[in-house]
Amino acid sequence: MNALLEIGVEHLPARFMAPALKQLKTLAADLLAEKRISYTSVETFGTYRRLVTVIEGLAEKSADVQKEVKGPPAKLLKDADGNFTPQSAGFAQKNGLKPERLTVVETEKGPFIYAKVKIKGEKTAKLLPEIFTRLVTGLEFAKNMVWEESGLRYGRPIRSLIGLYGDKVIKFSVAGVKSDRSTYPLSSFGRKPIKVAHADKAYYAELLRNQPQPVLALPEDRKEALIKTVSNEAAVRGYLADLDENLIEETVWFTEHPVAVGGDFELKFLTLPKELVTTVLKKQIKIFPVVNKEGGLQPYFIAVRDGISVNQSEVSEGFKKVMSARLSDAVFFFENDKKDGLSKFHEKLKNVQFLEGLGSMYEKAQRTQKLAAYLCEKLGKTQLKETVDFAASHAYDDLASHVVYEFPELQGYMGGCYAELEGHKDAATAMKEFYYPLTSSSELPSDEAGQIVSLAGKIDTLVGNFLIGQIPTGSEDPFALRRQAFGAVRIMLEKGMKVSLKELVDTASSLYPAGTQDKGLAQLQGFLFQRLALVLEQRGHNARVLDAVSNWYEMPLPQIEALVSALETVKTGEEFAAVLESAKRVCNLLKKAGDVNENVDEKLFELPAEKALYDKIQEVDASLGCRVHTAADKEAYLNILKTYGAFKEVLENFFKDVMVNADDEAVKNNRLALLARVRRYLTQTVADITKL
Amino acid sequence: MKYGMNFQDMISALNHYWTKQGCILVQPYDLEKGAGTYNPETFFGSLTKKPVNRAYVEPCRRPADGRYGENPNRLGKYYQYQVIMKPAPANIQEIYLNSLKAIGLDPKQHDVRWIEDDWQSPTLGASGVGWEIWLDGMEITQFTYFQNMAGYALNPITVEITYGLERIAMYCQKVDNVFDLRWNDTITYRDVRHEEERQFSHYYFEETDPERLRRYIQECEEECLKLCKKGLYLPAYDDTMKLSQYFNMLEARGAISVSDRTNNITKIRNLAKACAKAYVESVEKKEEQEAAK
Repeated sequence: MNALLEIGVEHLPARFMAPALKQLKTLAADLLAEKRISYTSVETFGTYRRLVTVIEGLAEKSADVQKEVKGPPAKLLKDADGNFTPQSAGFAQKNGLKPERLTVVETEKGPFIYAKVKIKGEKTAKLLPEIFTRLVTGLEFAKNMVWEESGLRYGRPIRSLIGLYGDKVIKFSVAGVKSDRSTYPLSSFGRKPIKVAHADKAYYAELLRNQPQPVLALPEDRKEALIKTVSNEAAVRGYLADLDENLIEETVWFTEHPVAVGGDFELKFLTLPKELVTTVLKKQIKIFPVVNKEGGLQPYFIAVRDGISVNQSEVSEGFKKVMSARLSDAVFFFENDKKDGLSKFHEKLKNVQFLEGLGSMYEKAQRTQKLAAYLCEKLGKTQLKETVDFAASHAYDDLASHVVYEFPELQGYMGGCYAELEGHKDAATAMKEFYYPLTSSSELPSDEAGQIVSLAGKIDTLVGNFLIGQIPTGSEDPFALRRQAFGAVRIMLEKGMKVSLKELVDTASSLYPAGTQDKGLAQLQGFLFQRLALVLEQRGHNARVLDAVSNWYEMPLPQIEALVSALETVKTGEEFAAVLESAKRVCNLLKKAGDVNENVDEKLFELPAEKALYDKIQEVDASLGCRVHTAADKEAYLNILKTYGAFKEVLENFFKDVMVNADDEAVKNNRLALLARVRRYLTQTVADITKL
Repeated sequence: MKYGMNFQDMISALNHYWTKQGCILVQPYDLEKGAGTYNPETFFGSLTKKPVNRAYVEPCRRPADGRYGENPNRLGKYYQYQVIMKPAPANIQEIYLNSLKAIGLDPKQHDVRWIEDDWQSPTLGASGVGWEIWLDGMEITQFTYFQNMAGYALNPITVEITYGLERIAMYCQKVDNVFDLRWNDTITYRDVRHEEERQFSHYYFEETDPERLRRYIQECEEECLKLCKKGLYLPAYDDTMKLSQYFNMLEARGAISVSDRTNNITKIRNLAKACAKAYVESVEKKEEQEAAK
């Protein structure tokens, strides 16, 4: 049989919905497992006014279960006369058994008395009131409230409950609301109950869909209807709707039956930057913009109503009025900003604090500019110097603008618009995309100047935060430092910037005034390591291989990736396994020996195998030189790693012929020194192969 | 063509509607305040176990929002229609929707949206959970289940419904300028209020004396704390309201720094808490005395 629970609530915030339905599903599965009731499926769905759970194929009874209850130690089973002791008899009685049925089981702590108890299953119908009650009360929302005297905390008030098992009502109550079989129409259509006859998902969805004012109970149905109605409304005007994913998702969760209502707005608003207009439309009024095939904004909008399509022209007029007022505000801010211009904003940054104790945003811009200039030089992009200079020093200006004050999400973009208007077209894109990537997988700044400036800004922010000890912990990362570090690493890797993280961090921190507090800059290296591992993982690498790259911090990022790729290829080879074996042996030997220097004296060699190993080391050291940090690509690293192979034989011979712990102290120390050289080579020079 | 109800008829209709729902009509409180929530009926009304059902028009002053009567949408003083019901009836959403019908807005003809909006007032130490209600995209009402007042967690819960009267009237009468609203058939909002807007904007932005306002603030604070100690929470609360108004005036004058602002907000909250405490203690005392009888 099936069961259905509907929690009728006052309008839940859209953002609560997806997590709530997910929780409900897990909660239902957990409760059914706890009660040992078998079932075929649990599904959750609904709208912001009704949270529904349907459980299909419920067993009529919960399963019987054998339970073994541990009792007193076995020696208390019977007394000297062979009678059950008061302890064992009492234990048996407590568990509803005759003492004769007790058993003795060997445990780690010796033999104990056990009672094998059979717990009989109960009727599902009897268990459902508790299951339903706990399903309702077990839900947690991002923010909770109280509305009636029982003091239950919930996302929004509960106003009705349906509990059905087959076609029977399961009686229970929560927060003063009693369960029955009634659901209710769209919010603006009164409270005349709609009776749900039995527990079935398709039937329930159909029942609501067939109301005079239909409700689409399934989110996927609403999404389909929404996209269709909005697209049609745009098509009528010969254009396309800008089907923003976030807005679609939000709209699905704040309507029960989306219906589009289109309208137009005054042409004059199209002189505003596109993102400014679409932000007002999407974020402030939650309506869809309309574009042509090329993505150009059109003076139309599409609003979404809940469930009804009467009186469309008056409703459209209403939306138009609101939009016109909001866009007029935007025009006002934008015009004022244009009057002020970047230079005035730039001055204002002197009064905007960057971080407690770390000066103003004006100073931050100066540092970013210097760091970006350093990068330009370093990367051989001197032709970009002027563009980078301008973009970096004005990257934060728009934080002092009216528009960004009103619409913080337009930071960067607006600065770029103002730069464009002031004739700095070359720097505009870099400024617009200064905060890119906005998510872990979204686009990077599209031009080279932008990549350099964006990277400089992020590194300065990271260094500043770590200097004052503002370091992300657990889920706490209010300044999105993880995202910024991730973005910085992505820019360096994906754009092949030949610069190391150490060099960047050292340069960035040297730009802070002498005597600046330092409460945790040392932790930045480890923090960056974790981001680097994640980025490599995102790019298809085995992030654990990075552990073996001993010099990662000093290596340019593209080289790290090339080396990681090479290590991934090499580490599966047979030859490599043999070297690894020897390497581990070297390390263990040296570990036991304690402090060992690397001063090898050829004169103390007694056996050819010593000399052979020494020659090999000298040879590879000379041939590698400084190539390790600068090898061009994976192929080059593969060539370097081939040298490991050369060690296979000499090392094997060494261990076969040479007794490291010789009686002569000088000979022994010399052999240890030789091995220390080998260890450095195998665990430091290129990579630590013992960590692979 | 004449659209919608006259401004004063809308108020009468709301009065009539909410009286039928069991609210008593109280009159506006005769002190300046920034929002209807400041009215002692709401502030003290939400704090105890006794049922409270009130409806009233509340003039609200927001000195910084004044535009000399020159902006068609902004006013330094406007009217809120405020309803509070404690405990909140289970069908309060439906009751509210029907009130829209009473002023000529049929929810079946328009788009009524309930958008998450959790209200809080740092000065009153108050917060609530609820929505702003949009009619065809326009915010017309704030609907809040109070959770805390002056730092006290509330139970039973009060629901507060606040209508923005001018906005609703502009929508119904289809006018784009608030001063064009018909107050009755012959008198407009301009006739009644324009000169007041002009003069008060002038006053708040140019003529107030910051030194004098700071002095008043200090006097109000001292007086309020003194009165609280004597259990005279009502006059003490008057001083809290006055202080809050002087603070808003300082802000409109641009005479408040960031740290100044935070300090003053804390000051007002502490006074509001002191008044609430004096009130709650006096109620408890009364209950004890009655129980003793």
